[in-house]
Amino acid sequence: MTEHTVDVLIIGAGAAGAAVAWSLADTRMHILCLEQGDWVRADAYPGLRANWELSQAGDFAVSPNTRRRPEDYPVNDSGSPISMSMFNGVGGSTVLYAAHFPRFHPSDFRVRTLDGVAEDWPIDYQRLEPFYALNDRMTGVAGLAGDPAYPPKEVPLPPVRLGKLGRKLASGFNELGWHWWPSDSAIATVEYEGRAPCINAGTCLVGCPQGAKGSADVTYWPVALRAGVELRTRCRVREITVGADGMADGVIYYDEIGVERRQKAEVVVLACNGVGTARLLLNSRSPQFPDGLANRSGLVGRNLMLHPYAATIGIFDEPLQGYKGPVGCGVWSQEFYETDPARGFVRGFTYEMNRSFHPMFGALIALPQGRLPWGAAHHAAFAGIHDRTLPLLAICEDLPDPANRVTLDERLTDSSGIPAPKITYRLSENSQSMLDFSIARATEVLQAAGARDIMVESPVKMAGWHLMGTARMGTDPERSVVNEWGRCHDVRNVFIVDGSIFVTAGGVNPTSTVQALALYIADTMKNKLANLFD
Amino acid sequence: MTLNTQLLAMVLDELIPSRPDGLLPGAGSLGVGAVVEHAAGGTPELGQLLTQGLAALDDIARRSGAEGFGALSPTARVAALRDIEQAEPMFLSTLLMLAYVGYYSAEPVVAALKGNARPPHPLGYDLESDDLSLLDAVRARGKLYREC
Repeated sequence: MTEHTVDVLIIGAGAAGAAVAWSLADTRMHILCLEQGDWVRADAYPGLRANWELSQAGDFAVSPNTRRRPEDYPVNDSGSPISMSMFNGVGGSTVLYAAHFPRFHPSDFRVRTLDGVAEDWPIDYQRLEPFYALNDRMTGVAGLAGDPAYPPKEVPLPPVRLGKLGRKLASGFNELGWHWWPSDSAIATVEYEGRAPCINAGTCLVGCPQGAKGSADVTYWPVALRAGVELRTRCRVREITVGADGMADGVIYYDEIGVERRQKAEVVVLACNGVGTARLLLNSRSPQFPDGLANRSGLVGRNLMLHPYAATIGIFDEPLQGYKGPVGCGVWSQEFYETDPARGFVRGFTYEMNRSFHPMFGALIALPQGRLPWGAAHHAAFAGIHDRTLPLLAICEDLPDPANRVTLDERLTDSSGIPAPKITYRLSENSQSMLDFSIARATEVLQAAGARDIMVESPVKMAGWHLMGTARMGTDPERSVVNEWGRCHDVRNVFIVDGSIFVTAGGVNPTSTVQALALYIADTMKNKLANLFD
Repeated sequence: MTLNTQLLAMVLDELIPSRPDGLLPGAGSLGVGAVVEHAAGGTPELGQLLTQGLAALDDIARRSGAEGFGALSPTARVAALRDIEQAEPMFLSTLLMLAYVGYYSAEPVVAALKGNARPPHPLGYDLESDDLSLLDAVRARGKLYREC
């Protein structure tokens, strides 16, 4: 039997895979997406149960090593102070993300020119801006136009409400004269494109049964499927194969019952993010590519960037009603975003307000801080922190370092026998200085807002959400893996559209930029269809 | 490897005792032991750590002349737990973490803290609208980003 060859094979149905699938659909090509996870049904989300927090320690944990669903692959992250977080399923990690949706800044694309570190991107903010705007509309981004930390931009939906917590924090920023603004959030604050509005339930990190959170399974995928894209779930790709001409000719994957299958394709698009994409390329060895596909530069897997987080947590005397509202969205500050040499580090960070911890998570945060003893004093201590916490997270720009990398573990495998990724990562001195600075300034602003006590976690252990840089873009094949529009230098019919192509990390959550890049690459592919491989 | 369920419940009641106002039972009485046992059953290393830790705690009690942890006075139980906390810190910190997970996600505890037992969805919560004149001072500062 002759196998059908699809025009475009996308690997991964997360933020990037969904966006590129939707954009390419109007070419009427046969587009197939293989996703190792499945759809999450709305009625499966823990937020519909009173004991929903327990799922954060189980089947909806952010770490695949804790979650251990059949579709997850283990990650050996014992060599990193920051653990990897991800979700495998339609929508990818956006299913569990906080939906904080900032764009990069113009300066983020020019770090070598401006600050003498890392590399400039081969594209700039202006090139991506139309795709940021398109993505904001597709996702339904809430916010408030006029933020002086950004060039002018439209925001489709009204901002997430601040609540008592947000207003308290804003008063602290105003007291110090520092920047703050309502966050850009991938949250439908009003009904949008058939999605119900946010009801402030606060369970975003275990998924949104309301459908208000702009995860890719409720934004791009329904439209892409209606446009004819084929999506096969529970299909785990093992490797990309190449023909005698050195071009990719398809993939080998395991279907939903574990049977090995082959799928031929004219074009392969990788959308597995900074760990999964590097893992797959490194596992795709052949005589033409003995060190992994598209890895003649030796850079596949290197320059892993994670965004070290510092959590500075104010404890207040009065209840803050902080359980109400999208947990990671409300207020941000970019007072310290741009480089100031006087601070002792280059680049900068964003402060993001989190809502108060829910009971279980609050107890787990307070435990290692020595704030929640066992025994007779336990309940009084818990009463002193419950609904009285205001966490302020600093998301710090992580500079690329070739020593920080993804490799294949020699022993650990997933349930299909595919080598698991192994993470080698250390904090740079620049990151450590930035973290320390952010804690000192966060303490000032929280005290200005009225905090009576401060707890700190730095770096936040479970904060490896942002996986970037392991197949970076550039114009020089010796110094990058893909070109300025996502095509692999070494294999001209393989494209990468996820966080792995980031040249630098910025000091903001990456999903908005991941999706803008995916849309930009898809648009470029469509414009070059006649000579895509030249 | 099976945990000593009865001993585990007694220990949990010492770690998180009943609330002084009587509105909430201790962690053992609430059934948090099931959460600990579930976790222990899923990871052999964790199961071994907890089993051995509980056995060591019982040994401490026996060395004091009692027939086990359950036979100790309330004061002596606390002392035994302090001893095991020093001798086996990994055991006690792990057990505490699991106890907090189980206790603070349990429906009766959440209901007592929130004043009702309903899940967050589908009703959600109301948030009042904001007075964004709070931003006037920020607007007055002008642009912060770098042109490039």
